Amino acid sequence: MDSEPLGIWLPAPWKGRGWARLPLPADVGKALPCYLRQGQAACACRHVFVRSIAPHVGFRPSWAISLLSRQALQRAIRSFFHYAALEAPEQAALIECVLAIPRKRQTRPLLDFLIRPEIEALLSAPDLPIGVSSLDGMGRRTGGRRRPGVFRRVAGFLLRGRCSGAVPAGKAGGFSAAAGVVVPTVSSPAFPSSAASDTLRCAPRRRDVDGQSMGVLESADVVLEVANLGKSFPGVQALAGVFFRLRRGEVHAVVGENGAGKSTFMRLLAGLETPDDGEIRFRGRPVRLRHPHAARQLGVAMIHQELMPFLDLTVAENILMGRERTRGPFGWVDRAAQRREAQRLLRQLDVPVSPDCRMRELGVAEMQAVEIARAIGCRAEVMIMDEPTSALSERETRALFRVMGDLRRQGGAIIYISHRLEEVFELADTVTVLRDGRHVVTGPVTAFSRQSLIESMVGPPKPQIAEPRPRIAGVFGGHGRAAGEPDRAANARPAEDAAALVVRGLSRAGAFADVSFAVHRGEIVGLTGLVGAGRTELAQALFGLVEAEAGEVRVHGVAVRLRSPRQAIDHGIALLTEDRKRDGLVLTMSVMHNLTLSGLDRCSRGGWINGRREEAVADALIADFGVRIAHREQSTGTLSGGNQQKVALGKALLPDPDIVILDEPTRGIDVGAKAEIYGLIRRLAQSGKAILLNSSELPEVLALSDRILVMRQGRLSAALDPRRATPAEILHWAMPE
Amino acid sequence: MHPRNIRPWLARYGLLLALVGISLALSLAKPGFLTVSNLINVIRQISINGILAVGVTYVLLTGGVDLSLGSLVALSGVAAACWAHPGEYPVVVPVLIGVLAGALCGAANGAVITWGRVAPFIVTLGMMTVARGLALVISGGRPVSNLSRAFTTLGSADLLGIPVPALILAAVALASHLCLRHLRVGRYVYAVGGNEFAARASGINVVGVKLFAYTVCGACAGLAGVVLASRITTGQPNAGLAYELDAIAAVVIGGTSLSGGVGGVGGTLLGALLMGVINNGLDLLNVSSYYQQIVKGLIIVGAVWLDKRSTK
Repeated sequence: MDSEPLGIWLPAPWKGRGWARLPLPADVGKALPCYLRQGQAACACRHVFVRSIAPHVGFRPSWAISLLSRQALQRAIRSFFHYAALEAPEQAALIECVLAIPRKRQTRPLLDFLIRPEIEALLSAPDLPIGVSSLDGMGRRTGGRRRPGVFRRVAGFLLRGRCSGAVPAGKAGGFSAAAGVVVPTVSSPAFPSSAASDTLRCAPRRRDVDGQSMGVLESADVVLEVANLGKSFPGVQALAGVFFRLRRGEVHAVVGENGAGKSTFMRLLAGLETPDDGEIRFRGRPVRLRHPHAARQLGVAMIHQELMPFLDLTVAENILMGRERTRGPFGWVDRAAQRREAQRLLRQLDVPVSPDCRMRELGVAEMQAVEIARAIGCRAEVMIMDEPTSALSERETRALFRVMGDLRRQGGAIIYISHRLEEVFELADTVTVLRDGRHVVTGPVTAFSRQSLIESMVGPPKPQIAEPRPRIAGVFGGHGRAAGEPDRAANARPAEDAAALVVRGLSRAGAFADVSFAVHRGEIVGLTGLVGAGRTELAQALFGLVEAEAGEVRVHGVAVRLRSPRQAIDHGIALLTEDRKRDGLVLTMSVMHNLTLSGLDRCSRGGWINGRREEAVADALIADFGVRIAHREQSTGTLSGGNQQKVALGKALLPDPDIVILDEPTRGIDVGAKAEIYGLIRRLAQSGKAILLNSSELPEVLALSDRILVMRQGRLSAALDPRRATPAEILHWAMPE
Repeated sequence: MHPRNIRPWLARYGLLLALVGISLALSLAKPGFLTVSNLINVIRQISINGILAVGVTYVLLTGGVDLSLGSLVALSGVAAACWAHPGEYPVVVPVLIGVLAGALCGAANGAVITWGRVAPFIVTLGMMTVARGLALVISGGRPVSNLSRAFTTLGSADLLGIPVPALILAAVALASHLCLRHLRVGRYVYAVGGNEFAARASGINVVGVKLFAYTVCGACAGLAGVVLASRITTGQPNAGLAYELDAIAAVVIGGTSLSGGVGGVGGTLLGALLMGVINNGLDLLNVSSYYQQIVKGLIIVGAVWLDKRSTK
């Protein structure tokens, strides 16, 4: 037809105002007619978008191509709406384009999430600026709110560029397809299952009937696909709108900060939890993984972060658990065959462990290796590895990487979770970053640097969660805490004697080592790091819940031994435990009884509880901490997370401690309650208490702390000044080297 | 009443309702049921099981279990009987000896459970056998008879028309109620059963609380053994077989959770009463004791099932 290269007209915010004609890349140019011939206008739109628009709105072309996800699109489109003040018809055109994309149920939530207000505005507009083209038959009604003919219009819209190079005369109403473009009527062919969400890769390997090379969705590779996955736990949205795709022969790393939702995501994939939202497709088939066995049967194996071995069975029995080699009709276990198989797998992993060993006799690293052998033995198509190398030695890690390489070559797909970014760069093909339970970015590993990866994990600088902590000079008296004072390192000398809490060389095997720091009255010291860095154990050791093996703790200059919480409380230390439900509150008891639990001596005489005193104490705490309840006798289990946390805080603070250790004080509570807890923490500091704030949430630590200590693998790795530290810097110190 | 409000109400008063309902039905079916003598008979029958049940309530509230009660009843009964021969000691001595024997065994249970960190089920199962063996050793395998009048009146006499065992039960129940509701240690019993870790983190001496619960439970078993010995006027080394199960059943019917932290003495008393009334009623209705066992089992399971449903 035309000699002119194929192109489309689009609103062009990147050029300021107006329209731009985008020449389409050659492969798109070739693919487009094929799509249209097949009635896959949606694919066409998508393809055009990803290849042509995305680069202009801040996406590198290489990403845009490989991102392969609606997410990329989402970003691109959002950029349009957010950064360019488009005129209504332009927006409408765009939305039409996007509306053409989803043909499947699961893409609706995406759209809703993406441009709901815009869509609504569009649908309510009395006269739509988009004309109806003459391309009959392209449209297909799929119900819902979408109006018929969208496809038609979009196809016309797209093809217009192909037929004329002129700027559309009059933006509104000028979208009808030029006459003469013939697109055959299509009887709505079934989409390749993942087509709707696939970016188009023009794969030369498949040819259509004419033998003509054309762009076809290459979806056969995709083993596992996840669309709009969401999961919430009471009070927390752990995961929302996650899109993910795993191809055969791919090592796909999933990274993110603590609590970014990685583990939840993997648990969903492994069938340990069921999603609230979205869809998991295995080989293009939607599946519901109601229990781990279902995932196993599909070929999804998971190596857990926490080991779950059968300690009293042999290594061979562990490796072949659930798929024993049996003989005969009664399932007689063939021990020799079991041993051989186990031996083979262990040799492959280069693990010098006898298959006859009892699991209990092995070290952690060996157990981990056995667990990996078990997963490999399943010949799982998809293997999920959650921090597999955390306990492995260098040699075993190498062997594991080798095996992973083999698996990949054999077409296995591996999802790899690790905090060790070096491993990610060495091993992974693709990286997906999650943040706050949401999908941030997916791209080939080569598109990232350590720095850029950390940045996308941390996210753009958030607006401060609260006003910066007021510096109160009075409270600190003679401690010499000038506002401009440089970072007070963990071992700062000057005022240590006056410090409320001094920790020197505290160690506990397997948890933390040689930890030294001081906390002064009226000071909030933030303690942060990755999960598993030993922070919680440290907090528990300071409260006597676990015993430190070496080192010294001084409270107001006096060395103390903390063997039980009772002793810690008597020394004026309080701990808000990490998990209020598991170890903070007695959920079967009423709010009042919980509040007074650690300070019953205040309202009792000779063991007899004075009911009226207790009520008064409880009421005072309820008022002080702003607990919202109907009645003080209300059961604690029925409260919201935030209220529970306030109760836990009140309970911890009733004995009027001088030193308050807060372990994840805002975990799993909503924003409003968070703000209140922040206020409480500040008030506590102002009243002269020494506060150790252990938190995985960097914004929280940054906003509240006077100093930040970072822990890495059981040791303090840095002491930072929150006024200057950035999340990326903290994460840098927190990540294993 | 609105259906949403009926659930907590049912959870709270359902047992009382069931008790009243069954009593009404029985009094309609058998006029002999609702007579003073029969009702006194019922409370006399339940008193021993009641004392045991009140004791084991402590243990169940901490989330533990005590299977040694039946054997402790036998042991303390025999021990008390040995000191209760006529003309030797005042009646207080055998009573104290019996209670002390039970308390010591209970304390031993608690010690092994807390310090040895052995599961309560196992420890008390062991104690069940050990205490039975001790009872046989002390008595030489024969019932200890020839008891003083003062001792035997304990189990058979009435005070103001109410049987002494029932008065003892009332005293024990009242004391336990006050302890669990108004003493610090009682509060701690609930806390330990509700969430042991949280209790520890609140500075509660969990070991001490558990020791207390098992010791009190043992002491109650000892008291029950004394009452039983005085009622049957012998110290029987084979007495009290499977009493622990009836006691636990009464507690559980009374709404105390086997996982601990929820329940109380009031429920336990009602549970024991319900079991007694049903036993008595079935007797009156001439139901064979074989069938009675079946009914009892069904009631235990049914009561707990209903409780689970109503509190959910």
